Order: sequence, then C-alpha cells, then structure tokens
Amino acid sequence: MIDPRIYGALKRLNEVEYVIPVMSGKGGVGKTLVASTLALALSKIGCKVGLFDVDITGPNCHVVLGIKEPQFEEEKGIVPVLTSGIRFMSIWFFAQSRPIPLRGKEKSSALLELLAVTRWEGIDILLLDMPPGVDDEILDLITLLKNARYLLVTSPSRLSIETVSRTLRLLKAEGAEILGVVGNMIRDDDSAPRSLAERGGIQYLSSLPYDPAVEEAIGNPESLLSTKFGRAVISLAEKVAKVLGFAH
Amino acid sequence: MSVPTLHEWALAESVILAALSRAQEGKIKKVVIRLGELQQVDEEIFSFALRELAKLYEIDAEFEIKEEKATVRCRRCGFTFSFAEALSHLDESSKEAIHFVPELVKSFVSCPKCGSSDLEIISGRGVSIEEVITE
Repeated sequence: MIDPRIYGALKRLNEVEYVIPVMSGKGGVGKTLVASTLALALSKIGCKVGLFDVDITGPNCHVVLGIKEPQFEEEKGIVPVLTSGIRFMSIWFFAQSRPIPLRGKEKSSALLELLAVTRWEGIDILLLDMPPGVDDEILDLITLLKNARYLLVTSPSRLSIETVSRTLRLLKAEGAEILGVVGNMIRDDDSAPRSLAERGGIQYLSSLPYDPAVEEAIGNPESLLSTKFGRAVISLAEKVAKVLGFAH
Repeated sequence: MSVPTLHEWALAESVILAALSRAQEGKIKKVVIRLGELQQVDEEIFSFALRELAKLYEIDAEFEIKEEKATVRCRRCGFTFSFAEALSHLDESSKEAIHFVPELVKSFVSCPKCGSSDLEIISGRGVSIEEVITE
C-alpha cells in the first residue's frame, strides 16, 4: 500500500519560501512563545507568515494568539486561519480541549495528514512550533524538510544547554541547515546560550529577556509585542528577515 | 456540478502526486485507491476531484475506488469494534474532526467495553493507494 500523503505534504511545504522549525529538544524553554511571537513580529515588519503548531498532543500556540473559536475554511484543502496578520493552523481546531492520547506512529500520521491538506500559498515564511523532545514528529520532519532552516531555542539553564547541545549535534549529523540559536528567559549576563552557539559554530541570534509581563500579555498579540520580550522578538524578526533576504 | 471546495480535493491531489511519482516515466493506466471508512471521505466529491486533477496533471487513467471497512481495537482490553459502533453516538462536529484527522477517534471515542481511550486503528483509517498500473 502506498501512503499518498507524503507527496501532498511535500507539495504544500514547497509552496512556502522558507520553513523554520523552532525547536529545542528540551521542554519549558519557551519554544511556543518564541515561535508564536516571532510569527507575529515577522508579520508586523511586512513578511507574509504562517505558523503551524506541530505539537500534536499538546497544542498551545492558539493560547498565545488568543484564538477562542475553532473555525476555519475549506478551499481545496484546509485554509489556515488568518489571525493577527498571520496564517495559523493547529490540531486544536479539531480536538479543542480534548485529550489527544496519540502514540508515536499515530502522532506522525496525524501530523502528515494535516501537512498534506493545509494550504500555505502566498506565505514567505512558515514557522513550525515543534514539540519538546526529539521524537517521531521531529525525526519525520527532518527527513521531509530538506530546505528547512532550524531555529534552536534554549534557556540559560544547564539542563537546557545540555539537551540543546545534543539536539544541535543531531541536526548537524543530519545535514540540517541551522539558522541560529536564540537564548530565552535571559537575565543579567546569562552567557551560556551564546557560548553554546559559539561552541557549535552556529550564529547566536538573540538574547530574549526574562519578562514577567509576558504571562499577562499571552492571548493578546498587540500587548505581547509591546512587552520588553516582544520588542526583543521584533529585533530578532528583523535579523531573521535580513538573513533570509527579506529587506524591510 | 460546481467545483468541490472541500478538503477531499487535497486528499485527491495527494493521490495524483503519489501516482505520478510511482509511475516515474511510465504512462499511468489505472490507479486503485482504498478509502478507509473512518475518514468518511465523500466518494462522489473525491472522484470528481480526481477526474478534474487528472485533467490538470494531464493523466488519462482509470481510477478504481474500493472501500475499506474500519476496525478499532482497544489496547487495554483487546475489544474490537467497527466504524458504526465507534462513531454511532457522535455528533456531526465530532465526526467531522475524525474526517480531517482519523487519529482523533481516540479523542472522541472510548472503548465500549472498558472505557479506555487507548485505541488502535486496525483497518480503514483513510486514503491509500493499493496499486498504480502503468503501460
């Protein structure tokens, strides 16, 4: 039996100029917040942006974006929802608050299903909010996405640095192109994330500050972009856009 | 008939692209497709989309569609049940969610015998290609 979905998924993903998986390997470093806010920031500076929540069993991007209603349109596939200037899709639109108890292959299959039918035409940059760990979905995507530019997020914690170092080694071994490392929840002169990037020969893109105002701003994109964290993400977006060749 | 705008079109396009890839340089004569019951694909819309996409991709082939019955098994107690038993009590929006992502049967359905959500789709999940016949 032939699974046709991989061919559909490749076509959909090739409609986008750049695919940026935002990943870490470690949970709790702020991937969802960074991916979602970066999507908003890139859109704010003029890029056409998509965001896909790859965390099939624990989707959260919709919380950051403040989406309450799981409505979307179909037009020869699924049309990702336009929200705060970005196109967004997530398994949340189908499962909402229900538990999504999927095992390895089931997660891969669910992800492939959505990738095969979600239309990203007109998008310059598609950000993928990747789940924690290095599991089936991530390994599948590394195989599928030959032209992705990986963005690694780490916190200053030694626990995070250890895990992200491992993730960096994996990506390099797989020949993946790495856009750079972002340090998140940085206080004072936390230098460990920058050192990680330097040791790995990878560009250190930004130190995003620890900002207690962020929690209150979650769900309100305008407020989020106005926080100290949000403003730093806008600077990060400008850097990313420049690296990818989008002049603004 | 007006052009269908449902996501069956995207499913059909995946089939066309897969068939083209499998055929490589050969001319596709026939594609045998299985529609798994769980995904509740609208066969009429799907077939229409296949025919329209075949014109777009310049394929002159026959499409044979076979239905595959859906069976779901509980991993906890081993109880096996059918599509009808799995989806019979669900409302339309729940069935629609499973139509888009069949794996979500685990979010909407529990084992009729023991109540567990740890289910396994044994057969009839979704769209697959049984055979691509070329000249």
